[in-house]
Amino acid sequence: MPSKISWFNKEIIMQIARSTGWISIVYFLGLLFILPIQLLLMYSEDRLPYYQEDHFTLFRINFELQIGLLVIVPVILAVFLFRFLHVKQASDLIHSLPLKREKIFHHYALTGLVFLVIPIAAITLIVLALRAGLDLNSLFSIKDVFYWAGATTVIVFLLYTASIMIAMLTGISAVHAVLAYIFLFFPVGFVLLLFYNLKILLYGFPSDFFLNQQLERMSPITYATVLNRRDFEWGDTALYLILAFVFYGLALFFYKKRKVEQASEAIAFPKLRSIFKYGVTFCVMLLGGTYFSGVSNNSLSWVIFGYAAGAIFGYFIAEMVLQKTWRVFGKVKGLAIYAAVVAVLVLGVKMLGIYENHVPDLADIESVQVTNQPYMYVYSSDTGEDYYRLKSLKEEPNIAAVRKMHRQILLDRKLNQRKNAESTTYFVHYELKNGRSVTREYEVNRRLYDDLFKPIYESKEYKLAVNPIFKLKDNRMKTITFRANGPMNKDITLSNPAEIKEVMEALRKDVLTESYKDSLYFRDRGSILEINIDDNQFVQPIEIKPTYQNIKKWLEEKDLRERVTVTGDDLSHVLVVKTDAVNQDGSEIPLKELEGKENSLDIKDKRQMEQLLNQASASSSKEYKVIFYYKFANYNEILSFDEEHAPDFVKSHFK
Amino acid sequence: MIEMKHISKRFDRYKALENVNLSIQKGSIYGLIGSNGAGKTTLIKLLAGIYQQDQGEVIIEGAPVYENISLKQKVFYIPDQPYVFSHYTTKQMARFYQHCYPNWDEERFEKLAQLFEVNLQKKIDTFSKGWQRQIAFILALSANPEFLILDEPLDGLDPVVRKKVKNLLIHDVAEREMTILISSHNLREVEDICDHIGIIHKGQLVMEKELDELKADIHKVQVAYRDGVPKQLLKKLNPLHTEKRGSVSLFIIRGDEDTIAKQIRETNPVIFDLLPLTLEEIFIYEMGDIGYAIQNIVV
Repeated sequence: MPSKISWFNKEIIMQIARSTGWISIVYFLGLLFILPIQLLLMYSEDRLPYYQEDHFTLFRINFELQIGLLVIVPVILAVFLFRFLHVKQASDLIHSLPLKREKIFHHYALTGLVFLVIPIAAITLIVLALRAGLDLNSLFSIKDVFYWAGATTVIVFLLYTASIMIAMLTGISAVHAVLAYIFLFFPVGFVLLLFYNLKILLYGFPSDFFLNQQLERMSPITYATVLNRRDFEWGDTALYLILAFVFYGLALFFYKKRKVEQASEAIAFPKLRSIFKYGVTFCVMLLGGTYFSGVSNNSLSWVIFGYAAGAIFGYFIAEMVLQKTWRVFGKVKGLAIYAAVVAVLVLGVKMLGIYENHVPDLADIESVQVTNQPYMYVYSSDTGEDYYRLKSLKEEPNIAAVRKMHRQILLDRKLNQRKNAESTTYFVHYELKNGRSVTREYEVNRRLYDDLFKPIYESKEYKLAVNPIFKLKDNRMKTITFRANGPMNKDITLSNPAEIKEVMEALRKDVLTESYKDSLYFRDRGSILEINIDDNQFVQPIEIKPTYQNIKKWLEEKDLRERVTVTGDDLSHVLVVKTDAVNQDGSEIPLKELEGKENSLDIKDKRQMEQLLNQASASSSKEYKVIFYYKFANYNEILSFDEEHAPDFVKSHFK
Repeated sequence: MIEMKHISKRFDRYKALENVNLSIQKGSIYGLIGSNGAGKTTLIKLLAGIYQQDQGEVIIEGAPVYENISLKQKVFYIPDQPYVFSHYTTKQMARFYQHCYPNWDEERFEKLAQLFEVNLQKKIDTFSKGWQRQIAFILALSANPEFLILDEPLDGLDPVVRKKVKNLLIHDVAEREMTILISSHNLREVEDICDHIGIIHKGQLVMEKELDELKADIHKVQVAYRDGVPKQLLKKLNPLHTEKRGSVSLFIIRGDEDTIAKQIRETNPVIFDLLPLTLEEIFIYEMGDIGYAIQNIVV
């Protein structure tokens, strides 16, 4: 009697369960020990964590182990499930059966998915039961448990579907696992490599600007590794689910296209083989260049060596994988063609210099953003805040000045290749009238551009564009705190809105009148002002430099200056030493050596000590070294000042 | 009826089959003979719907076989090395096939298992190679296929089991008009059960014949004349092969036995013998140059 054949074939599922069911069980046991048993253990020892301010997620419990399982299990499951495609005999058996490929695929892929979901679902139930039974309500909510289950499922789903798609593209299980991880890391790794190398290749390429766009999102694995710190957002959830469905569909598509005889071939589609070969060659070439640019301090010949070595390595590795033997060294024709193509492309880009020499015409520029502190204003995680975002300059003198400096930087290309102690990074971002933009970043010797940057820096527009204090409304500030820049705790917090307003007004006046020279000389000097806004957020601390007269006056009027500034009273004495040569490379002279110098000037007078405090620079490259000995805790601080800033009593002593 | 029309199949750059035409009548046992690497397995996997051809058509009962489920339910393929899911017992494997092949006959399965004295609860991969092959036959015949495709099925079986299996196959063909394709690298191994023979050499089907017709159609003749062989006769007989040993001439001649005998007698030979050819000789003479190249498979 013929038996009934339904779409759902119980025996195939039995077969899958018999061969891969253990992975599901291992996953369940792993999660069981990592989460519920860990919770029980913490409960019994009474050391459950408290997360009051911070948002608690179940990912924080044994996070590393959770991520380990999360990253390994779906890929391994896919490897074992679709092993039948990679073993010739198994492949023949399955495909000789009267089963449509679609049916085979859905049975295997969906059963695998169920095997992944069951352990997560079971653990979710157990954790929910524990929460009810042990009264863990204060630690986490039911929503937290479902958040954990949801986020885990989505990531597992994406890793799994990506892996089954890769299963269709290869014919060897080991290659399957390796390719799956390469594929999952590829977006992040490739972008990193590419941008880093463009920076080597192209003078002014702003790789940090591009790399600052939350790269970890680009790979589910790197995304998973920050789940203990960051929430899984809805937008990303949707994106991951869509990608997972796409991978599932592609996997089916490739499976139907795939020829059974490709079992045991490294790459199952002949057309993909050259993509694989030259892709590997290209990536390893970039890796080689990156490595040698890092270890050789940007020496051009070593970087070129790195590229060549990388390309040769990559090419032969790819050949070895494809040919499944290591004796492939005779096949160099492809490598020669590759090298020729790359050389022509690179030389073409360099010769034409379209990218490197491009400075937009004045008439085309709508606005420009410029800063010498991109790490603070462009790449900082605070740049999302409107008061931090760098505003654009629109006034023509400023745009012209930026262009002038930009052109000079291009002319000085050779000079800027040497690393310099006083190097600085200029970030320039033009918005053009035609809607396009041009972004460049240069690491240059600062001194060469002081004259060019000075007019920009000292313009009102620039100051308003950069400093958060001009962009923050006073009424958003809840409190402001002055803090002395020294070892002792001298600080004051103000919360009276009227006072805050006065302080900010004074500070704004001071910043507007500050010269470029002073801003460099007195960098990192003076007290600190912290602004606390809205919901417990802090704006990056602002320096109250010794040159800020308005705020100094305000503090004196309120009789607060002594309480928030390092004064002569805090110091026991000060030692001034004149060093012969201006110390160019920025290395510091040890304290012992300075103290041992002859003809040093020891000062105990309070007024004089205070004068020195106001004239010293934190830069170590000035000729006068000055050591401040604090009364407090045996603390001392070495600063320096130049001839120009030296007080008369110092000058007369060293005459 | 199984048909292959202008089939070509390549593996990357290597051409495995080229322009193969083949047809197998329903209810016949077709022996596919070829040396190692001739393309037997490729051809078989195309028939079993495992491989997809690059060119041409593989047709069973008028329909292409690839991804054709209702057709594949009637086809059973046993590979040259029987393969089963690891750790599966015969019983479990039978359950699996039962859910794939709608014509599965449970009663037959039990009977066959008894006949071959197979322990159903033992894991198949712990059996010896010969036993695994017998189990494969039991499972295949229990699925009641209309087309059975066997890749070197008798390799590694001892003579007793070989006999048993052959009888079973012949029984099914006789009873249910099952069609069998059986491949071998040796003609001798299958000549007793096949009624049709196809010879494959370097990816091409060089010959396809019915065995009986082949044997009836070709003859070895020894003749001697006083004054040499009459030219007239040679023209008439058009022998495939001539040889002279002393005064005796040896001809291989195609044609009807009686007609040939009559024609020769008319010329009054001193000696005249009409002898049957061995299969080996038939193939070698039939195929001329290729015949010598593939002698090893017909010996």
